[in-house]
Amino acid sequence: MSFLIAQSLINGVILGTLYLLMAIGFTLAFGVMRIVNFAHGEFYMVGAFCALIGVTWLGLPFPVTLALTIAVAILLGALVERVVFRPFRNDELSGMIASLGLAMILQHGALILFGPDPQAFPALVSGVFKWGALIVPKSRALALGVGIVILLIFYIFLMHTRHGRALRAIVQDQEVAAVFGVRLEIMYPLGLGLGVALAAVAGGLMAPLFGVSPFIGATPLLKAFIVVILGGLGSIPGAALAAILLGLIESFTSSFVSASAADIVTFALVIVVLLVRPAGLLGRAEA
Amino acid sequence: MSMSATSSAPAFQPMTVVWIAGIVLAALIPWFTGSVFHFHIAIMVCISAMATGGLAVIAWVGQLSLAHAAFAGIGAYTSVLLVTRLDVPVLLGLPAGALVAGAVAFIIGAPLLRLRGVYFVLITFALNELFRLIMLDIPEFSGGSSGIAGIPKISLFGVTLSNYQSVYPFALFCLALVMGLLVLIRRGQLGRRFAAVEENLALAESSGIPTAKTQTIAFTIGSAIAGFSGAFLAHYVGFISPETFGFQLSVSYVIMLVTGGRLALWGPLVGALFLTPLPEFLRGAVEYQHVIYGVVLIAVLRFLPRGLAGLPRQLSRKGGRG
Amino acid sequence: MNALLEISGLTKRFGGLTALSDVSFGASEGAITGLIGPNGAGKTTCFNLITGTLPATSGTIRFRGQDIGGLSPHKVVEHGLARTFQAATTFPAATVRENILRGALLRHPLGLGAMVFGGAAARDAERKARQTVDEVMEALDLTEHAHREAGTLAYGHQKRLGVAIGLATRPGLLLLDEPAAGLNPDEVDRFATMLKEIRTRFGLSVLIVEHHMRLIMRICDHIVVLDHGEKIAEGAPEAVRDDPKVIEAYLGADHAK
Repeated sequence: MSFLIAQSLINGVILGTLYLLMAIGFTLAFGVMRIVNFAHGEFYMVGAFCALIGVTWLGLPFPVTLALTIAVAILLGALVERVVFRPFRNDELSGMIASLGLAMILQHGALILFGPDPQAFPALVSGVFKWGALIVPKSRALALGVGIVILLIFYIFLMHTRHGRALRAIVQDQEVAAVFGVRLEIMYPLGLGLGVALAAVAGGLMAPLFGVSPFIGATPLLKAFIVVILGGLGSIPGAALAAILLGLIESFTSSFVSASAADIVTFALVIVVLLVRPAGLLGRAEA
Repeated sequence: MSMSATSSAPAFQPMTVVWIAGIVLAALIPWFTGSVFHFHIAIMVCISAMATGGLAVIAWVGQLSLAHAAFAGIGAYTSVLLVTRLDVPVLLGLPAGALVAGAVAFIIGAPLLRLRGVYFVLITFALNELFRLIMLDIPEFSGGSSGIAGIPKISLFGVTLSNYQSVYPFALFCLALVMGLLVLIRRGQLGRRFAAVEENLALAESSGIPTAKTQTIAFTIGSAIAGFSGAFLAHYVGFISPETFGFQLSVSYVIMLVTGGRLALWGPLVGALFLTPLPEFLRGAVEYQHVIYGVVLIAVLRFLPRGLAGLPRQLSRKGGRG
Repeated sequence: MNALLEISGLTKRFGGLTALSDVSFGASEGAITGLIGPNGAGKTTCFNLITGTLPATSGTIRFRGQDIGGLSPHKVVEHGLARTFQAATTFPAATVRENILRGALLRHPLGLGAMVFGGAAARDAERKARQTVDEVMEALDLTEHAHREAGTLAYGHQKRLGVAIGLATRPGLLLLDEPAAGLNPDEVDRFATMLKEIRTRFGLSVLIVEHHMRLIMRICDHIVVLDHGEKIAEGAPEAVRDDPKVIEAYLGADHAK
């Protein structure tokens, strides 16, 4: 029993890390630009395809592929900000509806290019780590490790660089940030670009584990959505807490109850939180 | 199309006449061509227009529901279960579907509608997922992921509408009823209250309009219409599953509404008329159709904030309210 | 004078922060009562409590002798207590006439059936409400703009339309939230004249929150001063103007000596 608990704990943390990678971009887009981005899951899918192309078509090493994926994603995010979202800056609802359109374009664009069938991704590493009865496949450990490193880099960027501070300032108060010389026309594309890059990295990291198809974006979007509601729209610390919490809840409920029960419980929780505390578990109430 | 409800009303604007003439002509197309395929598309337009009409009623109080497919699903399952398990005639199953969907909306409406803007969208999105997950979890009622097939066709007083040509007039009749209801709401005091709530909630409340109740009424009526359209869809297509009423269906209603015009009376009809035939005519390339959907949606949001139905007005007075 | 509105011990706490602390005052029948104070004094909170927009933590609000505390805003209006807003004072997509009509229909309630299906009762209600609309439009000099969309009106006209909507609900007491903010001196003068006119014409009492001191001193019969959520003075304009506590609150302690 205690082994099952430990195993659930490890799986939960792995899931939580993936969810956090997804959720940060989603919550950043809302915090910075007030956009609820329903296309966020499709960027995960785009990242997975980038990784697939890099590794299997171009034969590049995985680290190089991942770096290229990040670069492509930042550019894509900036482009999307410019073409799709910029006209709706002061209109949350229209921005959100536009993201629904963007999601359709990306998903079905991928369908046109790559067809509907799941594509196999060559395993990067094989084998498992074993500690007593605990088993962690090396592929998962790798995804977890790289994910944590990227999250740390992002954290340092956010806390200790000029652009990172500017982004946080916008999340706090856009008008005040603009008064203090934060240039929104640079920070908006940067904010969305970084969020997209994190989603794409998540896609690239998970591609070897879960395979690649045009439809893989839906689940990560749902998870990001749940995490961000629980943590409070726009709140990064809230997202961090909620991501790990969600990972653990899912891991434990599916170990001890059932996977469908986990889904129902989390969605019910989302609804309760929205009703009782729309600002999220950690968020501050909006006026 | 039976438009008697509106054509008897006074004070017609010329633009409305043009719209109605265009819509009536479009409604007649299947009879001109005689193509079974065209009848099918026309029926699908009617069903989509009804559902989108329900979504419009909710949009008139300033809320966008992403749970619309779930309410269509509630209506569909209500009617199908009544008809298949309790031998209720389909003609009663359809309004029962509307009634149950409306009742559910009425019960959950008050707490939900305290949220506005994107928060309401998010909670309805979560509700739609919850509906799908719960239905998948109770296969003894929902048929689970394999769904329910062989649903009885619509029959009117013992006459089964077994082919497309016979379903279509009934679909038109139902659509006319729904649009008639929309016209009545829009022109009456209730529509005035809806508009007040949509334009300025705080002022509406302070002018004596019970805004919470008004929003609940809109949500109930809109969701009941969704339930009706869902029940119609179930008996027409003959198959439903929890996946039928997923996120994608809610999104396609939103796209039709926004494309037609979020606040325009004829928006739902125009949106359904413009977008429903698209996939059917692009059968060979469904992927392109969705890309086109996405592009149309973003372009309409950007350049036609009043939707296609607002296009003539936008052209006639350049630079109207954005 | 009869106290039309009686507020006693009104308190509002937001978490640990006390926005309004044990405030009591009244507004008399037929009078224009001013509610003033520096920024953050709790004036708008007080308004929101009176109109039911926020629930009070404690205290009572009586209007014409009836306890209206805890009622939702649309019920408070029915009792005859209407308010205007600082910003977003109109229904922007509707015409001026329609804006005012939405307020006027309060006095002509209909059942849900009549609201959807119309009929004689609905037509009758609308006809009567339109009479009120014409009267209010004329009194506030908005008739020439009757068919303009409210959102396209000049700022001063929008503020006046806000007052018109409130007036159309036929209130006993009209609560005005900074009606002169953003108006130019001419418009302020014009507004003062108009307010006195409509008070006489509609038998109105007024409670007004305003920063514009000259306007307040000119039109108010009675003034209540709040500072840091507490009432620090109350009385006739001249008395309040010369009260050292009021001067201190506005200008800081040095000036009071």
